Amino acid sequence: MTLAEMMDKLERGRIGHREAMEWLGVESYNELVEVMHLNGRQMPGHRAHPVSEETMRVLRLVTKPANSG
Amino acid sequence: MPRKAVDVAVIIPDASPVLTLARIGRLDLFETFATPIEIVDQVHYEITKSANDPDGKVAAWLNRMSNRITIVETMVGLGFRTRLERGETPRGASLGEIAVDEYATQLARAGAPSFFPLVLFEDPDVLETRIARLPRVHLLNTAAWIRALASQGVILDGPEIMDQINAQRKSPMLPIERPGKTKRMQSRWIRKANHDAG
Repeated sequence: MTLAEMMDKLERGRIGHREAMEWLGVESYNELVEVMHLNGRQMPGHRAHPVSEETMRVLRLVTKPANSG
Repeated sequence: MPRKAVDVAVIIPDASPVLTLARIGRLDLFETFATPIEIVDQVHYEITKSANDPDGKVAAWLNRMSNRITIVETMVGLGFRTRLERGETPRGASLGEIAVDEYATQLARAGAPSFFPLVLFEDPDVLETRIARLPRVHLLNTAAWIRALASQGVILDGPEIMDQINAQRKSPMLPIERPGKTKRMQSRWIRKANHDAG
């Protein structure tokens, strides 16, 4: 199994945290989460923090390049 | 519909994996790749310069692997050599990564739809380069490579190799792998004996 395959299985709930941690050779859940996030993955059951449209609008406003009109 | 698994067509290593494995005397691990290895000229310069290869281990390995490794010319490497020949002392920092980026991008854009190059790297900055945004490039770092080889039973001393590598680093190397993905295909670098992944 490759890292990508292991992460696919973990994301889909086909393997558990313990098996994933064993594959990675890590002892803490935090390390497992760190590896997942480093690879742009989410832990199963987790989702990105929801951001309201109003917050996104303000964010776009303050990050707009100065010369974009 | 599940994506079809496609074997990567070529391995393009950055300098760091070669130098790391040379330091621990395990350049033989490159022989586990079933596909051709192509080293861009700038990376070839970096891995063979005397500061990085004081005892000639890398040069000897390149000689041994000469039928499996091709050295590829890039615009980055050509420009660097031109400036050296002019007697200038150009800064070489990051040029290896930029040359890898140039070559892998060229392959991923010009090759057939099922042609996926694999970039083997260590510096996480590679994830910020152009190739990390291309759908047809497979990214793999040394830690993910070694863990998978151990998991497949190709090598028996994976954990020991990682211990040796991490002993030379300030912090442990975390594994990174991002397969190339298009609508219909996903790249893989290790061949399965009985079934297709995906």
